[in-house]
Amino acid sequence: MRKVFLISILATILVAGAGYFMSMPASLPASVLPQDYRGDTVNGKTLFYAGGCGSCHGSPKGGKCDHPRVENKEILAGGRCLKTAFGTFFVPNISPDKENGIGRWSKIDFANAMLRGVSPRGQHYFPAFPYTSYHLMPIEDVLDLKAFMNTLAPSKGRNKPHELDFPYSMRRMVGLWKWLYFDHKTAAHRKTGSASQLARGRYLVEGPAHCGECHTPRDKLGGLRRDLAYSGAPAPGGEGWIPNITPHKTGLRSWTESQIADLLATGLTPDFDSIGGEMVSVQENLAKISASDRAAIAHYLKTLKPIQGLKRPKKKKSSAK
Amino acid sequence: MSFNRLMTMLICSLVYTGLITQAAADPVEDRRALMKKTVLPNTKLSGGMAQGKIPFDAAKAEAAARAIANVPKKFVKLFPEDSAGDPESEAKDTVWSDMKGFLAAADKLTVSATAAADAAAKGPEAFKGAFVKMTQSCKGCHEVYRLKKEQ
Repeated sequence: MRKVFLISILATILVAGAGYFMSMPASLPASVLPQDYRGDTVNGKTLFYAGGCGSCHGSPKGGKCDHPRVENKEILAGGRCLKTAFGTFFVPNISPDKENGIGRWSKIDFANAMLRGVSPRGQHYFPAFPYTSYHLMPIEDVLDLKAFMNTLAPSKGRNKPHELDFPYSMRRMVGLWKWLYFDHKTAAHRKTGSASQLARGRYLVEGPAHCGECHTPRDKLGGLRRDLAYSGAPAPGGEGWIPNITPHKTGLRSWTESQIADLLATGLTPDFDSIGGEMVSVQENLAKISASDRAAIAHYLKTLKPIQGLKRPKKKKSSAK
Repeated sequence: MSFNRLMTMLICSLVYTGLITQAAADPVEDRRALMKKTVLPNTKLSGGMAQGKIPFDAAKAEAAARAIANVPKKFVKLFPEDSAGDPESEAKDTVWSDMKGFLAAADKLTVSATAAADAAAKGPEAFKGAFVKMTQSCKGCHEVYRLKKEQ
């Protein structure tokens, strides 16, 4: 009897201990920063629009937190709300304001947020902030982005705490989620020389542009189903469906690379239908990066494995009007 | 009243009721028809010309943009309260919860398509600029009020 008791106490301690360590936020040391690096604001602006920072962090149009448009993409006041299956996230102010924004952040603070999903106080960020894609960015690109964001106007926009359902509301749990789904290397990436069109496209799609965060379906815990990468998914807001962008026949098989690049530049499909939903804001961001970057994205998408996406549930005719 | 006259009246009234119910039966179908049969082919034609894929013809460009400009005022009448929540429809609930914004978005298309029609006489470059502005009203409305269901 005593033996059983001791073993169960020991097991509890082991599990709790393992959980404690597995959920611990892992920050990068300041030594990963390149010495005397001066951020390139031109490249930073490209990354800012490739990533669409302003689409989420701008203040919502007319003060309606769930409005898909923001007032000004270069004033990062925050205030939008993202309603998800886990609760409601309120997007924070990331303008260079010293009180309510991130004006006091050091380079390593910013790098830890972008590459490790860890705040300056060493807490986990929820993966509604797509560091799960941004961690592929080399440290130089991260610093270029910071240099550009430092040039934007500060805003006094106040941050609002997230309203999440239990147990998702426990930040420390994000550590276990990261252990399951966030596959980062211990070192930060370093910038390598000029990339081929394919490598550039892959980098943009998987890294800063974070296409898979919407176009790849998620499992019950919100982890990306990489076996179904880019094959379309229910819209995160719950209404509608995000399309398949693999070269499958239910996706982009019949599209040429230039038709894909045209859509990113104009918002029009080859049939002259217009895009809608959250893609409008994304497309207007991508219209601001270079034509060669849009071509690289299109090129990479056409090299993806064609995948048949998940079946969409048939909507029942609602009797209640 | 002769039997023939009675029959004629009966048939006429049946056809009439039939026409009325037909017209009012399915606003979702009517909306789609306006988009697919008027907006889409005319956007294709004017867009093709704006992008230089079809030779520019000022008269045709103007007519296409004018046809689009005439759609919104008919279109917005096809969203009666009881047509909300139709599973066949791509209209989002925001159409009804924010009818004011929806009407304003539709007005933007009337204005921008009229401007495109007026720009056609000024040549292909002016038309192209006006066409791009017009497509922004397409996107602006679809961003908030339309739910994409098919690929």
